Order: sequence, then C-alpha cells, then structure tokens
Amino acid sequence: MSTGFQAVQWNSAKYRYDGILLASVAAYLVGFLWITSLLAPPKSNVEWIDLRIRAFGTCAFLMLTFILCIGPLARLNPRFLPVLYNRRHFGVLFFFIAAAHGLSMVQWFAAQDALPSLVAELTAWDNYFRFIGFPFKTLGIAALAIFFLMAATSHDYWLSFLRPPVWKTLHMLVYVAYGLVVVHVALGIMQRDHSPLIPLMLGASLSIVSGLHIVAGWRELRGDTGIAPSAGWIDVGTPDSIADKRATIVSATGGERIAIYRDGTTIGALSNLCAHQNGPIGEGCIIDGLVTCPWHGYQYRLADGCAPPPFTERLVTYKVRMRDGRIEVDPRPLPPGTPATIDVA
Amino acid sequence: MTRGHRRLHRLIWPVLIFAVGVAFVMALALRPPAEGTAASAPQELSR
Repeated sequence: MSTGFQAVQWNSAKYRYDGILLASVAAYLVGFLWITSLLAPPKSNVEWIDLRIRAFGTCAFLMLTFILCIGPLARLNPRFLPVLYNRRHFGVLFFFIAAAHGLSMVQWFAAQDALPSLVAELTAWDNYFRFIGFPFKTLGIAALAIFFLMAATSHDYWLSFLRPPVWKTLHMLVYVAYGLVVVHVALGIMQRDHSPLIPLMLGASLSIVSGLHIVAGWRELRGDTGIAPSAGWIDVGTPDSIADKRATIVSATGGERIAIYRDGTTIGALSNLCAHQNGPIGEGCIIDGLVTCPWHGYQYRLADGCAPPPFTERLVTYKVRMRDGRIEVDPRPLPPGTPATIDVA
Repeated sequence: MTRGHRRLHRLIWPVLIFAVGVAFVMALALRPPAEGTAASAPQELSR
C-alpha cells in the first residue's frame, strides 16, 4: 500500500531479509579473498586488486543468477513469494557489487599507470569483428549501464511516473543484460583461466535460469488461451467452485485476465493486474475484507476495485451476473473504480 | 504481468538461450590452449 510513493513500508521481515542479504554478501567476499589469498598469496597491490576483481565479479554473477530465478520460482511455487516481495533491495545491492567489479578493473589499470591500455583495448575497432579477441569489457560495460538504469528506477516514484507496463518493459532488459554478462565472462576470464569452475558456473547458471523461465513461461500459456464469450459473457462456474475469499481467473480470447473473487455470498470481478507492479491480483486472497495482491500486499475493495482511503489506486472492474445457477462475467472492462459486485445468497 | 509481457517473455527466453548458448559453446571450443596464452599475449597491458 502507498501514500505518495512509499509502496512497501519497512517492517521486521524486511530488516531481517536485508540483514541476511548483507551478511551473506560480506561472508562470500571475505571468504573468497581469504581462501584465494591462502592458496596463492598475492605478491603486490596489483595482485590484490586482481583478487578483488574476481571476488566482486563472481559474487555479482551468482547474485544475478539467483535474482533471475526468483520470478519464475514464485510463479511455480508460492512459497517463494516472500523472496519476491524483497527482491528490489537484492537487485540494488547486486548493482553496487557489479559496479565495484568494474571500478576495481579501472583501478587495476590505474595502479600500473596503464589507463591508455584500457582505452586502446576498448577502441581497437578491428577486434569488434572477431569472436575470440572481441573486446569483452564492452559487453560488461553495456550490461552495467542496463543495471544502473534498473537500480536507478527501482523506486515507486519511477514506477508511478513511468506507469507499470513501461516500467516492467524497461526492467525486462535484465534478460538482455544477463546474456551480455554470460558472453562477457565466456570471452573474458574463461579464455585465459582454464579452471573448469568457470565453464561449470556459466553452464549451470544458464541452464537453471533459462530452464526456469521457459517452464514458467509456457505454463502461463494455458491461462492466456482464453475463452470465447457466449453472447458476450464468459462462464465462470458455480459460486461454490470459487473458494471463499479466493478467486478464479478467466480471460476472453485475446484479452487480459480477469479475477473473479468470492467473499461469502458476494461475487465481484476485477482486473488481474495490480495497479502497483501489475502483479496477479487473482492469485492473492481477501484479507480484512480487502482483495490483497500476493506480490507486495496492495489492497483493494472488492465492491469497486478502489484502494481504501487514504490510498488512491483503482482497478478496472467487470460486470458479473448469475444465470441458471452459474456465474458469468462480461469481459468488456468498466472504468476503474466502478461498483460491480452481485450477491448470490 | 500483462498479456503482452508474458508473450514477450515467452519469445525472449528461447532466443536468448539459443544465442547465448551458442556463444558460450563457441567460446569454450575456440579458446586458445592454456600453454599458448603467454606466447600470444598482446603487446599492451591487458587483463
């Protein structure tokens, strides 16, 4: 819920989550530096910087892999929803770790008075037509620019300013950035370090992330097939087929999904798109008499799709009717905030 | 997510896994042997 642009308020769960997140990242970085410096003690400042580059780089890659798994895991199993609820801070922390990797790289060149070599590497235009020898740092810089854009807009001010569909499209650039990062590592460190750990890390990450996204995406396809309306109405089922304080989700052919909620004997239909981040309203439930989005807890009245005062979000509603003991919904949307519930007692 | 976002999502991932997967396999198959790295190192400082 929000007043102004504070969508998700601080609470004990968020403090605990952020504490675990920061402690895990610190433990990884300290552990990496400690173990690698024991195995091959650095002999100079430059070698220490090199270790930092690897520590930040591997940490950022593992964080990105995990972040990209959260969305499809939450689609496949609701037990992962609490992680999704807190994903924003994870993403911003990831950006800072990735930026530290990039800055350490610049520091590595600067420590040897060799910044012109870095510039020469990035502007060796002929190399851009080669595969092995491609200036892989450019791929990392491009990915970092996307991550910056995402981290900078990871606030509800930008979500409200850009509107959820545009904001979501912008943040889907993370998939492209992930591809750039994998190729950055494959054409970079994997070319000179022949440890089997690097291809193993890349292969495992690529398989897990893409596998989860493809499975979750195709599972959603069934819900997008839609039902052709009969005389303008879609059959939903009997009132008892909708669990109390829960919803059934339907969609007309080619249309957006509609969440048909039952609260006792009251039936109402709302857009399945939460006004906050377009989360799946119909997968939530009714808490304290209000329809609650499963992603970030935004709440709406079933009667008219409006958030309770002082909040101002409103959802599109749909006409519902009872016919021969079955609920039917008209897939033509009503203006946001239009009362449209019926009583089936 | 809107219907359009779900469609985009279903389109992106197969393309992404194919393109990135091919690049990864090629980078692995074509990388120079470990012992040849020093001999073919460029003149300028590189990391």
